[in-house]
Amino acid sequence: MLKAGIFIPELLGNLGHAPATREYPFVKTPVPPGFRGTPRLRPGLCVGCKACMRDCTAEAIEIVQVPPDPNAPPPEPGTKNVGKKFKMILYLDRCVHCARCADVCPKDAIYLDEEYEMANFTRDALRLEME
Amino acid sequence: MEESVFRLPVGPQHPFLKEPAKFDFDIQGEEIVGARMNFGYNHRGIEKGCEARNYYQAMYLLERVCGICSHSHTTAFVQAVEEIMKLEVPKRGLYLRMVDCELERLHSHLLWLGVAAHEVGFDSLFMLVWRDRELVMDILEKISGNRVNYAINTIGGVRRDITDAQRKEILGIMKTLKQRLDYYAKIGTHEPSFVGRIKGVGTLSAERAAEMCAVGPFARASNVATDVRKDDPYACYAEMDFKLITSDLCDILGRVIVRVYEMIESCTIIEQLLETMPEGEIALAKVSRRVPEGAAVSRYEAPRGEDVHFVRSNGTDKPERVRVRAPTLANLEAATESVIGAYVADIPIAIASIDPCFSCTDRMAIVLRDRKRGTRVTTWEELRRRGIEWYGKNKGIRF
Repeated sequence: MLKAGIFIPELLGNLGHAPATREYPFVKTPVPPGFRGTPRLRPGLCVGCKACMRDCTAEAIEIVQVPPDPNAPPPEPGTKNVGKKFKMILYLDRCVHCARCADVCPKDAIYLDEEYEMANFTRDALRLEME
Repeated sequence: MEESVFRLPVGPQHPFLKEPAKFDFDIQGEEIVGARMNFGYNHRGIEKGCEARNYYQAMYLLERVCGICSHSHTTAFVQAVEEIMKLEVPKRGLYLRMVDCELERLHSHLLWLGVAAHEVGFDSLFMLVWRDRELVMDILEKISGNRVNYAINTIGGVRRDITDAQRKEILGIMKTLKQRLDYYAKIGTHEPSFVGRIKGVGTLSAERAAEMCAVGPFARASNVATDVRKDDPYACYAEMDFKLITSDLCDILGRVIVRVYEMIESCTIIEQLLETMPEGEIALAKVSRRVPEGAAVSRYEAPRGEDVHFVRSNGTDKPERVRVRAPTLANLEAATESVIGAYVADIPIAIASIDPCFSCTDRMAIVLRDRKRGTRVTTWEELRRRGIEWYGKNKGIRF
């Protein structure tokens, strides 16, 4: 059964409503907790196992060892190995934000932040080094 | 005097197509008397890409086959891998997978309803439907961390659990959404400007739909009762109480009705899932990275129809072969035939009525030489020779 004007009450009802959209660049929408943003490294925890590098879908992660500082005082005799330092090079232009790196990390050294405005003008600016 | 037939090419780039595809329509006056289609403009090498990656990488790559049914492709793949590995996924993991699956169906059908309304020039409905779609998108973002690629699956379960607060929130939203869907069902069947535009357009009989192997809501709207969730239940669908919606209208109005009532059924399934969700683990604690030798075919009811994945493993941590059959491939031929008899102005809505996704569909195109249609194949050597000749003649460069 057809009925003309069935849509009109809905249209009139919407006249008094606040807009459903936001003025984006000025008003930012908060993201829910657990949002998958940019992968970040906690360098102190990284043991350099490269599990994230192996499982990264987009091959966006590189883990490299930081060369030891030549000016640093030599470790005192008797102390154990001071530990190697690692840094993560993230190619944000390739990253697909699947969070596999954070899942596969045995030391929880990688987490994803809540940043979602990642666009940039040059590709070099999307190469992030974290150490 | 007999009217001449005019060939109307549409595509590969055309305002009504969201993705490239080529259609040739034979028109006599305003009426379409013949239709042919051709695609192969979106080859991305995803299947080959999977062979070069391990199972976890392939899973996230396959999620990118489609932007709307991203969860469908990973679930179909993961189900196949789990079958080869003979894994028993914890029940809570399966329930959470199904919640995502039904939420995805809701957002896909709401998106389609908006697009269909837009194609027939009913933009008010398009705006309202997409506003309500945001409710579903917000839930998906909250429970998975992303609006589009949920990445909720992993081999042996799911990655994220839902909290009790989220469960209550989803149940509340389902209640609101059901009221809204009842309203859209009323508009879809009562609003004269909408019904008049889509009734009797793009008809496809039940016999032809079955013969041409149509799947999903498109087939169900032609009164073919096919649904993988009922025919070959995967996950825990056998335990769920829901109706299989069909329509005997066999036209675009039927497709609208089927999709709207299917969304109401999806809301019911989500409510059942959340109310009866068992406690326990969400994924298997330890899963081997190597998959034993074997092969499996997995069927999955994606929002657009039956999605089929075939996986063959060779005992390493990388799949030997992954084959994806997206639902659009099964429906396209039937959709092209359903346009015959309609008017030129009906082409956009008739093609859009299957909810086409050409990127999902395109795997690889092989061009066969067809002298009658004037298809030519240029070899690499010939192309090189022509290039050398052109530069020699026009630029004076000798190679």
